[in-house]
Amino acid sequence: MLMRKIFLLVNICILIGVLILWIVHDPFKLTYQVLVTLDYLDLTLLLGLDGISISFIYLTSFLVTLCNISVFSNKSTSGTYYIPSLFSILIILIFLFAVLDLFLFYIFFEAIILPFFIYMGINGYAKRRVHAAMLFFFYSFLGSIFLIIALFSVYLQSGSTSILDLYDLYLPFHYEAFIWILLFISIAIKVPMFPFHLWLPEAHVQASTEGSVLLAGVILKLSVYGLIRFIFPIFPYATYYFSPLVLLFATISVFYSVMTTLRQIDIKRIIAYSSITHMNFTIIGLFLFNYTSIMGALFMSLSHGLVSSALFFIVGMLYKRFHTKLIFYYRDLFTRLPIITFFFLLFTLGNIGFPLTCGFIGELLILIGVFVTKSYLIMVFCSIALFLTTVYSFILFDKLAFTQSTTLDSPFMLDIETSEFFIAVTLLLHVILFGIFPSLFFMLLQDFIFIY
Amino acid sequence: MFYLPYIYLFVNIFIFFTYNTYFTLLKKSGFPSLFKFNFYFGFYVLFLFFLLMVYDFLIFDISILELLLPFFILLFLISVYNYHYIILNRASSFELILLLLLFSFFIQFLFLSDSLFFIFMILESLNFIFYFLFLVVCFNATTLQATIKYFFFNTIASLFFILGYGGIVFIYGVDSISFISLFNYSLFFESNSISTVFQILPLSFLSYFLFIAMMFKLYSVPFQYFIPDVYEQVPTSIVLFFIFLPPTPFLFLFIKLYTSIFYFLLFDTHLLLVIAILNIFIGSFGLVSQYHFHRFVAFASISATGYFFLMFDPYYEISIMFAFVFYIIYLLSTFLFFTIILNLIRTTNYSIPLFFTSLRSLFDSNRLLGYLISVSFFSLIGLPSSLFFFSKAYFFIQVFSSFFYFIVVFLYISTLINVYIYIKFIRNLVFPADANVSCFHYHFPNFFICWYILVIFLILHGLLFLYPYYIILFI
Repeated sequence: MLMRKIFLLVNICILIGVLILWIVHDPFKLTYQVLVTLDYLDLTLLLGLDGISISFIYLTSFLVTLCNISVFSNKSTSGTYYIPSLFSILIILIFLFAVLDLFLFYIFFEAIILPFFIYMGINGYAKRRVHAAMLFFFYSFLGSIFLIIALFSVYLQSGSTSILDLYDLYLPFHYEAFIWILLFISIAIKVPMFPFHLWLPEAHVQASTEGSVLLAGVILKLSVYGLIRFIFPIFPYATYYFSPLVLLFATISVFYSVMTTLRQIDIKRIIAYSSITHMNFTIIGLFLFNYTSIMGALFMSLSHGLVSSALFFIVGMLYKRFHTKLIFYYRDLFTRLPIITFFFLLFTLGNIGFPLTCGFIGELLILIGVFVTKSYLIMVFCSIALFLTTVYSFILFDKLAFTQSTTLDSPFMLDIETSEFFIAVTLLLHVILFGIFPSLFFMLLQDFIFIY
Repeated sequence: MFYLPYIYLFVNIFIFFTYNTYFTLLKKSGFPSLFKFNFYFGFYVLFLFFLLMVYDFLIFDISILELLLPFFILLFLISVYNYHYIILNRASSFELILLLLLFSFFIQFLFLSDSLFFIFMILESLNFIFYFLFLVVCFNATTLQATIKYFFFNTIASLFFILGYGGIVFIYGVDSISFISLFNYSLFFESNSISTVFQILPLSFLSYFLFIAMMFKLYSVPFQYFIPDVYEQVPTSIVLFFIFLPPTPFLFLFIKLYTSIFYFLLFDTHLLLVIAILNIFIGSFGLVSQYHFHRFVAFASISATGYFFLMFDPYYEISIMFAFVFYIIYLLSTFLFFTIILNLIRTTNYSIPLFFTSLRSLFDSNRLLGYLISVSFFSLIGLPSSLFFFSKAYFFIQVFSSFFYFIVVFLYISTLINVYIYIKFIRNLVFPADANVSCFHYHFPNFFICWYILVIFLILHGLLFLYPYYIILFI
């Protein structure tokens, strides 16, 4: 118990430190700030922050703190199992979002596999959690292989892996295209994009609540970060050349995942497929090369981190009470657990992009980008997908909350606990705050997007 | 000043012998004193080791491998000579320690000797020592079979060695390695045309036999086939000995012979490269269906030898550094794993585990050990943020920049296979087992050993990962 307390304290300190960093960060200074140089093995490794890094680091530390509170309050689990993994996940992710070096990025990008693999395997729901952990590991490792070949190729051409040097790198086009494909496959596994998406629903379903939260909230965001930080500025020609292909795959993924979601009966699997939809929507926004849509994509990746985490927390609360995740077993939650259902409704609205929630801003900006660039086919498919997102979200909510119970003797259930209420309210505050004042994030992001 | 290394060696051997033989043969003392005095001896060796680290007067003559060897012997002694293991495996005979002393004695000469014939004699003596080491701990029919197999193949290796020796003496007229090295070096690097004596003289093919003998001694392809069977049938402590101690002097001998003879013999061929690839191939694919620790480690050692050969280029400093880092980390990781295995006692029938399946959900019963084993396995894979990563990344960069793309693909495949196998074991070890699967429970009796394992682990992961240049300081 002492260990949990210490880790919670450390975690809160880190969160406060990140908030201070956000406050002292100068949004009008168009360079990397808080630069730190490390010397290791003849390598000079550079760490630095800009607006994009700070927003992702804030998201990470905020969500890990919430996970930690969730573990802390959960008396049935022995937290000493998870705390080393959670702590290493936090540290690795903070470093990952701060490095300005492709080599270090690779190391942290892969280092996150180990604690997460152990976390998922130890602390899951069912028998298939081991299978899910293995699936996660091998998909990520496959991506790692492509990434390291790309890294070596870049290093042999440029002699450096620092991105400040790589921004000035000029490569022959065929070579750039080769490296780009390798890099993009590893990123596409993390998104996850259509042919490589199978690990995500499995991982979400089998992982515990905190595992799902971190997976949806942070780990999927690595792909967006990798694209905007490394692939876009270093390989601009190949990025532009391959963008129709990427848009095609992203649109297929959006449509496919939405259609798949309609047939799912597991709540977590529904939210997992919904994550695939939103992340691929983000990718569409990025690859339209429009100022508004890139902005929207970045904002959407952050808002999706908040909303889907909140939904996974709610599912965790429901599972704790009913010990099932299948929607057939849920009836009439609005009369039994009114407060939890109220939060669930609000986060569902966030998920479908309802105005005044942060999901709305991202979707709106990306759709504006789609309209401006006159990508009509994408527009049609995305509109259908967004409509179907609303449909399945409300089918889910309807089945859980309003279906009348056939049996009269429904057992008494304790509604929301203090720690759960704290988690839900904090997330809700974020969702509504960034829905009403998106400029809080835009101030951080816009100048850097403008550079690209 | 020049004689200091020799003085060190003499004192080392002298104290080694007198101290241990006296106390182990005392009638009154019996087994506990054997146990105790080996510890004292170990700390004495460790003290000498650190003394040598402080002064740099030895660097010109004694290599890092020799400095490491007393340290390795100490580690071996502490891990094997714990009370429970000796009781359980009836390993209380004093012959074992005498054989270890003899081994150490001959190894010192192996490091010092310059004459090929003398090296041949030492190898023969070591062969006999190994023969008795196999038999001394516990005796049954399968162990005898393994021993005879091992002895037979080593005799063949000796035959090759003496044939190679004949070839070398035929070419040069002498058997001094330093002379041959000087001669070859001047002929190869300082003459206008790059040529070696091996291309000119008839009967020079006999020197290839020397190379074959070394391949036998290092259990390298194509002479690796007997070693998994041999390891499977002998006790765990002896397997630990054979995995951990002989490779160091044999690698030293290989480097000595490579820099003086083999480099000039093989410089226009890719023989070593092919052998390395085959080693990695057989090591990786052989691992797939292994559940017995001994067989597993045999194949892993074959694979590690392959990686060492792949990077082995004595005239390129950073390359040899990474090869050594790789090999030493491999040795220490395997050693750590075996130490834990040797000290785990099953609560039901008081035996030590032999199969990976018997370690199922060790993480539940002993979290520290489960964690240490899984982290050393992750290191052996070579994932980023683990120990092997920099060495393995360097392998890949080197091969990639030499345009051997086929080898790159091949290395990836073998790495993937390794990942699959190790992850399978980590899954068994760490994740809680299903309710219907039976798990064994172990207790870890020795508190001292537990701390000792932790210290080794920290040395491994702290020192070598954060600053691998420690190795190059000596090489």
